[in-house]
Amino acid sequence: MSALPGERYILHVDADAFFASVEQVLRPDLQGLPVIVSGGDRGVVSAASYEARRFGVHSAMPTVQARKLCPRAVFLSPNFSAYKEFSTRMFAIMKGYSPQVEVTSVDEGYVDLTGTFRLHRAPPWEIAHRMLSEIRAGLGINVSGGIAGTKCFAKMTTGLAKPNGLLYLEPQHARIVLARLPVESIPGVGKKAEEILKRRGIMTVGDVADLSRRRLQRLLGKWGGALWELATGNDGRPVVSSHRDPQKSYSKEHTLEQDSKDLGHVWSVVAQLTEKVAARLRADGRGACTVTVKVRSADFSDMSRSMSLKFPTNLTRDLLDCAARLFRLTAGRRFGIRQVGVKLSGIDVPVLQTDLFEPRRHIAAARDRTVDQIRNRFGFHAVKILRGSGYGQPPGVG
Amino acid sequence: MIFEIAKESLLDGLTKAVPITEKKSALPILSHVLLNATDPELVLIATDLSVGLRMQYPCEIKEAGILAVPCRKLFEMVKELGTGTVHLSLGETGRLKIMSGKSVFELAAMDASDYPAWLSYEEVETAPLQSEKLVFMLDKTLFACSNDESRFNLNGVLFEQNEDRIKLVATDGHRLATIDEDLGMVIPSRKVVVAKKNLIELKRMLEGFKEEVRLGFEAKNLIVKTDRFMMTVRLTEGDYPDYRKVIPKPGARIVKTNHDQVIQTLRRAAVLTSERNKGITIDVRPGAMEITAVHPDLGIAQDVVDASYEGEAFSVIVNVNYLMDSLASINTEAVSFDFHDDGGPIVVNAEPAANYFNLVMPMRK
Repeated sequence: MSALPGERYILHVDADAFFASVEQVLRPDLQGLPVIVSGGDRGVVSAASYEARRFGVHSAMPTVQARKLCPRAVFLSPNFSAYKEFSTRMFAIMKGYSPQVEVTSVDEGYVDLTGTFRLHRAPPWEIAHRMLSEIRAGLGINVSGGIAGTKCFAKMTTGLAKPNGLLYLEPQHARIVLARLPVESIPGVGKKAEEILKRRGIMTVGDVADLSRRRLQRLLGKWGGALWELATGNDGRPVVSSHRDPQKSYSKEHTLEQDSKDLGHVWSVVAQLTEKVAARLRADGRGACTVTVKVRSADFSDMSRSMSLKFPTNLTRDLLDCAARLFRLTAGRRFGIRQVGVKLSGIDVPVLQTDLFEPRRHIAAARDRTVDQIRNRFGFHAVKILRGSGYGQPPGVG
Repeated sequence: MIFEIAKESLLDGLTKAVPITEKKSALPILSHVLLNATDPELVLIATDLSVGLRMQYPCEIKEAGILAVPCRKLFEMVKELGTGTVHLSLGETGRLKIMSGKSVFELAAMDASDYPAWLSYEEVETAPLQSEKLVFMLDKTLFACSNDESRFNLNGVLFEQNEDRIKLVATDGHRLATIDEDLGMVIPSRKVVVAKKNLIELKRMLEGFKEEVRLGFEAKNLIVKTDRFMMTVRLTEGDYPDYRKVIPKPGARIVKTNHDQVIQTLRRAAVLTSERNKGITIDVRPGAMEITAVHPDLGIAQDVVDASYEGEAFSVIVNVNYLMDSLASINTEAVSFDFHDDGGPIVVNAEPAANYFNLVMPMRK
């Protein structure tokens, strides 16, 4: 068979409970357990494994609520450098099957399989099956896929295929099957649009498709026209290959469990953030010239200070030294501190300039690599760097 | 306060004072110059609290007085006046009135009692200084000082007494420059460090003097004076690293080449180094050094310079700016590079060897 003229085969790929799945791969002892990745008790759930979802936990839910629903879950703080690495590997596999791969988020993207029949001598669903199998086998995580004629339908199809499934809906069937889904399952329909539509008895995708374009535009403005196209399968948006621009900065923030005036404690949080962003920088093989430390006080006033290094570096030690100096400049004792953040910018190829008085700099680089490997495998807290051993306690704080 | 002074004298003093009053400071008075008209001379004082300058000029005093005025503004006014005598007086409004020919200015002033006290260190012993030699030594070292605030102890030049000779050392950790010379001067504490920014002022001043200059040390200051001028330069407190430990013994991989040729080759290669990463690769093989620069986006530069070397081939990555700086400080027709093992410094020497040399640390991949 070959594709009919004008007929498109778009595959949407979405990793299931991505962060939690990666954690389960890195720590096999977590397989089968409810795993929740979240940013601390004042934050929200970033990912919940399927085991945790059975208890009603879902992403974006406040962590406190997740704890009530599933007190026995394993709560982990996110390990972005590991997720990033898995993500890179997943998209690398996808790019092996089609040149047209659009990365929409860390765990989700589109692949245009329209022209791949001649390339692979196999129908799109077969190619998609091979692709997903390769991701599952290579990365050990579950992924789902949906194939349809438009990006919107493909994404909705993936929703039906989850968990760990692959579904192809032929165009004539797609409209029938998807018509039964609630309006809010159309990507882009948020709380507000949902309310407007449902108030008028427009409950399903089919209901939307039955309306005229003009009616939808009257209801929802310009976006109504776009929604009509999405719901009727007339979404002509192409899959745009992502040439990922190199990242311009790396940053990380943390809201403290409680506002704190204990500068020693707050510094240890800043130091951890610095170690984590430095690890992300190293995972990308990049270095940074500029370090910025931001401190938000309990009264929500922000204070931030930056300093620049002579050369791009990704040594934890160099970056911690800067962070320590900046922290001293930003952290006042007048108010408690609510939130802290660290940003690395001036990104470039790292330079390891040897130093007359620090002959062991290259050893620091090797140590960073080892620490990264251990942390990728066993989590951030598997290794603790003792402050004071050349790891910059901020002067005047303690 | 009322006095008259030749425009040239006043302008000379203000020209010297302006750079010192223009340092960034939280104290507004430090942008002022202190005018002290006390019979029979006008004394000008400027300070940024690290460097102090006191200058005396003959003038005709009608009424003694003392006043602090914005240095840059007074300088700009006096500079534009015609030649001749300038008449200065303190007006009733508390402003300094400046008159010359048909020009009249009134300049806001500050109370002299707010001005930092001048410590004259008259008792400090001084000896005649061969200032040309000291300027030469500063030229050979200042460039290697650190500008990095985090390495505060490296922001200056080390002056070290070594029997009759004085050794100057400057380093930012990535390169080091040193020179020693018989300056006929004695450092009582054997070892002092002076901040780069202060030495730049000192050098500027020394280059301006034609008369004999004397130099001495006080516990916290270096003092330079002539009959009419006196400059105090604050010494830096804090430890200087043990530079001796990092200077290697002569190695086996010595490469000799022509100074101008190698510097031109490096300049060409430097065009294709990236903004933040100034690394170039030097491949040394018998008879030649091959220099390669790779810019990740723009392209590659390759060049070869003849060199006398007989050993095994090897390669080193180094910051091209550091290498060019160190070569720029060398005046001989030939230069030698002494390469050391993996990660060790490159010794850049005049050929034949002189009383100064540089170290440059390589980069790693």
